[in-house]
Amino acid sequence: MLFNSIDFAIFVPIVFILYWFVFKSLKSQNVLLIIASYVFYAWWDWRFLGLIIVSTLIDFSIGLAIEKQTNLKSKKSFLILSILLNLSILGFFKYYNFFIENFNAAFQLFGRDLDLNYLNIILPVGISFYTFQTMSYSIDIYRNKIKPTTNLVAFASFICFFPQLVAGPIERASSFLPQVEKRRVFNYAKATDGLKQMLWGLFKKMVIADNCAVFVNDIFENYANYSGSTLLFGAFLFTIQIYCDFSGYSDIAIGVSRLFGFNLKKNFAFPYFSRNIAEFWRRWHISLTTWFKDYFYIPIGGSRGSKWMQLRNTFAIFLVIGLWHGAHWKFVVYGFINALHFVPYIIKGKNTKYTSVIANKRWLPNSKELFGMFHTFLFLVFARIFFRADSLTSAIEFLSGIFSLSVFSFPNLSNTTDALILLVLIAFFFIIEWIGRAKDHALEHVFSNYKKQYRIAFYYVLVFLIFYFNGEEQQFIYFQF
Amino acid sequence: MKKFITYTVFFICPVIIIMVVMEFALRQIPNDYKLKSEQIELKKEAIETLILGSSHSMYGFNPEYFTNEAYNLSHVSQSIDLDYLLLQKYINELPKLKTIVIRLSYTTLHEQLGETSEAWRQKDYNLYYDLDISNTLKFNSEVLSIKLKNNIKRLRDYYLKNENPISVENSGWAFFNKTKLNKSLDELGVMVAKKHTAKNDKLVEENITYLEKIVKLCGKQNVKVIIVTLPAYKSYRAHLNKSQLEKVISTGVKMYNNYSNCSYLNLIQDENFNENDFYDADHLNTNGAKKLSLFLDDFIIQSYN
Repeated sequence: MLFNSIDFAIFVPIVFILYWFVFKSLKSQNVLLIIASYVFYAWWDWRFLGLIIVSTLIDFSIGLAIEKQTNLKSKKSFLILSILLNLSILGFFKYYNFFIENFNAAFQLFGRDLDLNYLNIILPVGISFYTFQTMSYSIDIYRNKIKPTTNLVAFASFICFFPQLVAGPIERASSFLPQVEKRRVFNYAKATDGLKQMLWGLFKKMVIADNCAVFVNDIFENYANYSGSTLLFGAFLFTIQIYCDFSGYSDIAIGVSRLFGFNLKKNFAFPYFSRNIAEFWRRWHISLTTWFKDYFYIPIGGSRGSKWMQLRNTFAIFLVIGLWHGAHWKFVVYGFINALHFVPYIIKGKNTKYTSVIANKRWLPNSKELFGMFHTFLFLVFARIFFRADSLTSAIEFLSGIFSLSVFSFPNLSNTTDALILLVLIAFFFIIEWIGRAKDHALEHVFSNYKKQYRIAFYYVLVFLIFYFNGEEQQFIYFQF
Repeated sequence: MKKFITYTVFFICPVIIIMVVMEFALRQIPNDYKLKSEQIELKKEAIETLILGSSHSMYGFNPEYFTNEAYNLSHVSQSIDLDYLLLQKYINELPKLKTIVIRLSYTTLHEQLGETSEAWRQKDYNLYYDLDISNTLKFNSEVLSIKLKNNIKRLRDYYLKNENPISVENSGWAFFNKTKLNKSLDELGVMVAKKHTAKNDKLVEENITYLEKIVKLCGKQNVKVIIVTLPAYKSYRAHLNKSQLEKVISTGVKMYNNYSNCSYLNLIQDENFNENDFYDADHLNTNGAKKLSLFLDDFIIQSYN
């Protein structure tokens, strides 16, 4: 079920009413959440529900087993078992064909034909997200950061909670399980704020991302026929699309959760207002980057040790983040060039320079901030070509298409009027995001000083824009990961 | 909680009321699907030849030139699964039906309406043919399936400008009103061929099964099936993917070989059709439709009458 579908618009109110008015006890509410989440997931493909249930049972049991062990060695054995099982499931569905392809290629280099068979595997939606959630649970128990829950219903709710099941934010048991195990109380302010966040998420997804997709799909599919300026325009639009698509999804997920009395992790903190790449990665897909930081980067040394060690660890985490996105060399390259861009900041020790909000208590950024933002954004426009292109070769051809004299020509677009309207909408989107940049989400305090009728009028304008400009229904980009 | 629900309902109510009114108003607007479903009901006792298919058939076969009573039940982007469902719906209601004409285009085996950017047209089959092809609520509503921008235009054109949205004749045939295109036939051929070339073969087997189901269903009712690959302009032909085209043609030949009630006409490079017969690279104009319809009528008379 897509968040931007009419099915979801009917599904949420039904679950909401059942949740607050029919299933009033904590246990029954949690059972309802599990059923609703399984229905939500089965709407896409019921066959993969078993996988979620297996993952849930494995880590629930292993969590208890780790806790029971008295010596560290046996605790570690159970942890390794959990990691192996989780990574095996993920590896099979996500990376099997990638490894087969590379094994075959590697053996061919040495004149041997392995000719291992590919499998026709469908990637279960959300597998990368809920697998990481279950793994972090076992690791945290092993590290004595949390106690395992003995409540299977609560644990299953944590794993399958429908707003964040298929594309995050990746929750941690330490923050989410206590919410599942405690009775939720309806909070008016929290719920209305959730609705506002959902509205903004829908605007980002349906108006900006889906309309960008029309141009992006065409330009990336037919890049050989387009001028350098058109390719650059396509890469620019993809940079906007991916942010609005994914952060739009996260906004809706967080907003829906608030209706049910849950607080999810913030996943995006206005990343395109970042002054350098290090700040960008602290603001982009926060639940994933902090996951890798806590469970991969810090264990391999993090920022401790010499500069060389820091650089090695930085490259390692970016390569892994790249590979997390998909079994493809283009994602490895995407991770690598991000790491490469990080290097000067690590060497100069400036990778933690910007931690506060840009242009704090000012209306506009100063020239240095503006330059930093522009430079970071421009880097992302080029880096994301590797992310979007079909293959590494296509990405390189796309880039070489940009670096031609035709980049100085006017973009030759299929529909210039629609492109201009889209640019106006993007400008509107950036203005609203800029106004709300110090808050949890863009609409949190927009027009809060104005009379209620103005605020409501503004929300109606957004509703109208969503209905008026909604593009062709596109799946969320991150569903494929 | 009470305050939250009251405010939310008050906020949503105007939106829902506007949607309901729009839905009602949109359904009153005549459209090609509604017209064809009404016309076939009126003519069902007389129809001897039924034409099915996509825009290629809709623009390419003009029932006016058929000796026997013919009806063109093709629509833009109508895929073979829908051809089958339409045939299944009407075959028992057409007592004089002798022949089915169905197109086998370059895209026929590789596409289904629900998988294309034209998926919104599914609502027309649900609403006006009562086919129940999609359970999705979206495709059971005018308002939900088409973006507001386009619906406002439809309402304005019909109610304020009094424009007629019907683009087909009562016979089901349609013709292009525009005579000149922005691009030349050569340019269009390259562009459209690329657009029509499939990315994968995942629907091929399923679509061949639909084609077989059509032929078998007709066989049971003693109805002949003429599968036609329509003429296409040279620039289009030149840029088609060879294996995709080969799959299409070999399927047509296979159907002819395997089923006694089936004929296959591959006219894709028929030299009788020149640039004056094409509206664009893959659609015939009025002239081309006349030529093709007369040819087909002759074929039906020679072969079956």
